[in-house]
Amino acid sequence: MANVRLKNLTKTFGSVVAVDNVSLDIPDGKVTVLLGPSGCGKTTLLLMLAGIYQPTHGEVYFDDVMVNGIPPKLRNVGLVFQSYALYPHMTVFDNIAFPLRLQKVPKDEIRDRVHAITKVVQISDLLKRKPGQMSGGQQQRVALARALVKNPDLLLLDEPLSNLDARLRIETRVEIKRIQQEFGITTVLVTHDQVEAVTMADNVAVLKKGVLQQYSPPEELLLKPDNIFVASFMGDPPMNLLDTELVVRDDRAFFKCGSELEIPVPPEAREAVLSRTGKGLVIGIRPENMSLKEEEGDYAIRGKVFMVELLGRDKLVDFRFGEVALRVLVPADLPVNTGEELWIHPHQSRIHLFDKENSETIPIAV
Amino acid sequence: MTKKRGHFMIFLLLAPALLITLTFYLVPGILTGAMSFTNMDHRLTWNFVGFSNYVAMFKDTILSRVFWNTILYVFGTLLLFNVTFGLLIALATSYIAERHGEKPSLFFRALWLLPRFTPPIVYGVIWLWILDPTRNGLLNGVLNWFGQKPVSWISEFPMAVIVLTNGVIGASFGMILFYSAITSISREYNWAAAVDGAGWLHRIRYVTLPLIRWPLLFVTAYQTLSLLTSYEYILILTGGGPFYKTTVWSLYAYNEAFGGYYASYRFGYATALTLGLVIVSIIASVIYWRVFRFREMMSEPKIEVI
Ligand SMILES: Nc1ncnc2c1ncn2[C@@H]1O[C@H](COP(=O)(O)OP(=O)(O)OP(=O)(O)O)[C@@H](O)[C@H]1O
Ligand SMILES: [Mg+2]
Repeated sequence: MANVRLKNLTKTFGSVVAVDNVSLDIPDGKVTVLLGPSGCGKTTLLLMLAGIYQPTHGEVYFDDVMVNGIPPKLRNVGLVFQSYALYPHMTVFDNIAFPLRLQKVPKDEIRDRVHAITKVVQISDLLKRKPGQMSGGQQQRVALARALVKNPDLLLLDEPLSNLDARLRIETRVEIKRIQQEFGITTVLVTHDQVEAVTMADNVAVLKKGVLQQYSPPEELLLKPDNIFVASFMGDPPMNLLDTELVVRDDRAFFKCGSELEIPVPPEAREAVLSRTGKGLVIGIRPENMSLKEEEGDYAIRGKVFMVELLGRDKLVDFRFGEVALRVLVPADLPVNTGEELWIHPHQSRIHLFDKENSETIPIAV
Repeated sequence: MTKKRGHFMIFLLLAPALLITLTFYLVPGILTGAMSFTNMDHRLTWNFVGFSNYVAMFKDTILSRVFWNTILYVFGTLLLFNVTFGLLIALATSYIAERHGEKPSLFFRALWLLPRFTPPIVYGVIWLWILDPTRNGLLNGVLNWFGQKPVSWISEFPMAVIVLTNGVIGASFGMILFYSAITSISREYNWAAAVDGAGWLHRIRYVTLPLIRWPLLFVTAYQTLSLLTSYEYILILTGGGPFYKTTVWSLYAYNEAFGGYYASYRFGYATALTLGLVIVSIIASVIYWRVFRFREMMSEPKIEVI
């Protein structure tokens, strides 16, 4: 096993900067997820770890050994491609045996190891098929087996679940996690699906246009986003992010959003926030971090329901304050009607504040 | 009424092509077949002699030499140049394209395509100059530089010369097909193989070659047939000599009819030889069809790369 360190890693293709000065510590035996929208450089980063692309700048270290320039075959990594890339002319058995044959492993041992690994990923009955004769989910397992069979030090998975249907995705997610823990392999998984990231990861690196936005355990991405991009990318339904500025009236402070919405500043935050009076701010509150009540409270806001949207177990209640919208997530069984007036109670400790200029978070609550 | 007119339209539209096929292919074909049963010579009289031309073919000791020459020429050129060398250029230029961009790769491919654009006579004369037995020839000029005696390349290595000269032209056909097949293979297969531990030789052996199997088989079969009937460069360079050493079947038929250095205008015998060659070609096609399982290629799309 190995821990992997990226130092100021940059990759450019002509004028396109695919990966921009990324530094990252990937701990041994853990799952690290690279998360970000399409085209943000996830695959490029992964291919540099595998040794397929050479970095334009910066270094990759495996256990403190610099591996720039070391070809893929000497890195002992297992890689599952976004498209699986199973050899179409080989049977499943031959696909999985291929890395072992190249290592000149004896025939009997090859057979035993292939059978063992196919049992783990549950494709023992498909060994004679060709890739073209299998479903996406089955191909994905074969690709996983081919990556695992050589006992790699580092397992790299490029959106391995993107071709699967919802149910198979959940099953396979659990399976990959189980296999990873069973073997204790250092794993880097690429995805643009935040649910996948949160459920699989020990640590998540969020990327945007090749730049690392935040690197932290998944809970922290939701609780303490470092900037507006992470705050808006994480969470479903998305966080309410409203342009705002601080106003003080009768010794009480408010976040004034548009002309009609004023959100009282929580007492813990006053200190940190008052210095920002008159500056451009963005306030962020997740829909699930507010509750709706008939009765008033100290920091509640009165609003009129504009629309109600049912989302399975929850419903999303849409309030409008002039041109500003605020969405609140409540249990589906809570009776809420369009046109009704209610009190919105934000959870004070879950209010996020960002600097509008550099979009970075402003720490408020303790 | 309308249906009849429809048929008439179809006939009308097909007529020009039909007419061309009839006058230039079917009629000459039948005439040739008929001629092979005559002993027609320079007087061009139709004098039918039954199967005697065909009987003569089986007794012709020169033809048996010619047959083995043909085998050597066709498969020598095919295996050394049209397939193997074409494949090597395709592999090399696709590697160059990947490493150094499309332009230098295009330059080298264009270079190998040049002989194909050169008129055969010019091409032949260039080789005659290269291989000239005196010091004025290119090769012997070079040898002279190193103080070696000149070599009569054509008379000493006649078969090697015609294989080489045909191969240098023929390689470009395979090169073009193989190159486009190789570059259409998804990069990820090669990456996967590299991660699996394959060096470049393994990648060619286990990834590239299996994935370009159909173009390989197609070029082999197609070029066999075109080599069987091609003799123009041999005619220019050696005329079939020295003493039948480079006479292949198609050239033999040509010489019997239109006179090489044993000018004889034996049209009857020449046409019989030609029909014999057609039969050999048909047999070769059937064998390829069976062995290479071309039906598979025809019946389903064979683009195995995504
Ligand atoms: N070989 C290449 N040549 C030129 N540009 C490239 C190349 N590979 C990637 N890029 C560019 O680099 C950027 C990052 O690409 P990459 O494939 O790493 O994205 P990704 O995050 O994996 O996206 P996706 O989620 O769609 O797979 C993109 O803008 C892409 O267009
Ligand atoms: Mg990708």
